[in-house]
Amino acid sequence: MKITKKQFEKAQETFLEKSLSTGEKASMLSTIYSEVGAPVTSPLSGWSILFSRRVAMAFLVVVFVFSGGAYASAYSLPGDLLYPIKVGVLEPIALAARITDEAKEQYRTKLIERRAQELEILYERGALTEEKKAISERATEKYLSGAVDIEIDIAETSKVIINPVEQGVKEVVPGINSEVSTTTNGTSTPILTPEVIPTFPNSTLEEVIIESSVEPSLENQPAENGIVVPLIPETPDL
Amino acid sequence: MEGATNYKTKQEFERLFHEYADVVYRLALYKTSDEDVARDITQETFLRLWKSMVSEGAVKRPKQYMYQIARNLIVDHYKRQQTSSLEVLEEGGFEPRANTPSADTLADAALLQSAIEELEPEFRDVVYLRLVEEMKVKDIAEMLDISPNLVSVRINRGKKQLEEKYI
Repeated sequence: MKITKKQFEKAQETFLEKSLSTGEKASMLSTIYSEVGAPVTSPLSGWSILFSRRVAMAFLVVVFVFSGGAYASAYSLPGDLLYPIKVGVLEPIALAARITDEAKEQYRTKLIERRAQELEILYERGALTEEKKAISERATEKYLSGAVDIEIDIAETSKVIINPVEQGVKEVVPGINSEVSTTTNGTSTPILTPEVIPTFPNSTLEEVIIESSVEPSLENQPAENGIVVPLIPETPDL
Repeated sequence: MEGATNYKTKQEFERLFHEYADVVYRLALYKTSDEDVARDITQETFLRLWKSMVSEGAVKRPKQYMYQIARNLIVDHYKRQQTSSLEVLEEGGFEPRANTPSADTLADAALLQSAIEELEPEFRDVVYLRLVEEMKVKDIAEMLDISPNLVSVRINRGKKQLEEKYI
């Protein structure tokens, strides 16, 4: 078949755009790791994590967790109002709360699988739209790159949770530093100085966060028609 | 210490996966014109790479290794296809593919194939990797396990041959 240079260049250009979707890549990695387990271990990263900015954020989120909102958001799906909180705050916090790199990697792999599971649920309900797929893919992107640690997506969530919670915390904990740290996307978050961070046992923090991000399941998801099916919490996967 | 090595192995694997998953997928798509097969080949390629990295700690030339695995899997696919085509013909039936690739995909892949596969065999791979994948000479050399000089020579000669074939 004889072709022109222009035809070749056009085909070359469009062919180069063909790629695997984020979901397909996540699914591949998940299959690969399920066939050959991911051996990931590393020494303890140190107790200094307790004083990191993420823990400060975790404290804010704990308030939200106790309010019950986190419990509801754990069952949210792409497109739901609480979904950005689940993927932008709770999961990164739960990830940060895992001390060892091994635990972090395992949780990250689990989150990638969870994204695929959410899409499956939406698909089975016939509610999978391109928009929801895109939301899910954006959430998956965060966990796909192993080299980069996860940043809490404050931009997406601050309007919904952080700002109200921050206000509430300021009333409860008057020692919160008035400094703010500006993130790359321009939003601001308060910084807790180490001396005013309330200390609570590790297990308590982890339990709360892990419980708030339990696996979604078909049985205890709120139905599409708005009728809320009673949530039956699964045993937290520690 | 061993744990830290394992952690690095996984990081390295995922870096390679993110950098080359699409390259392997397109290579398989270009060769087979079948999206399902291309996905399977990509997954199998990285599964084998991961297995090697887990058992050996690190693969010396991962790009070359990946490319070779993908090539072998493509050849295996063609061998299987030939056998199954014969069986299908013997049975006198035909079952269409479950997931037919889009017309555009087929058209692009076929067009590129028709042009590149007409070149002399030694130029095909370098021309594909350079002109379609837009890879650097150094990376192509590493992938094909030949010297960068030889890659440059083959690219130039391949391009000339290609231009002679244009209308």
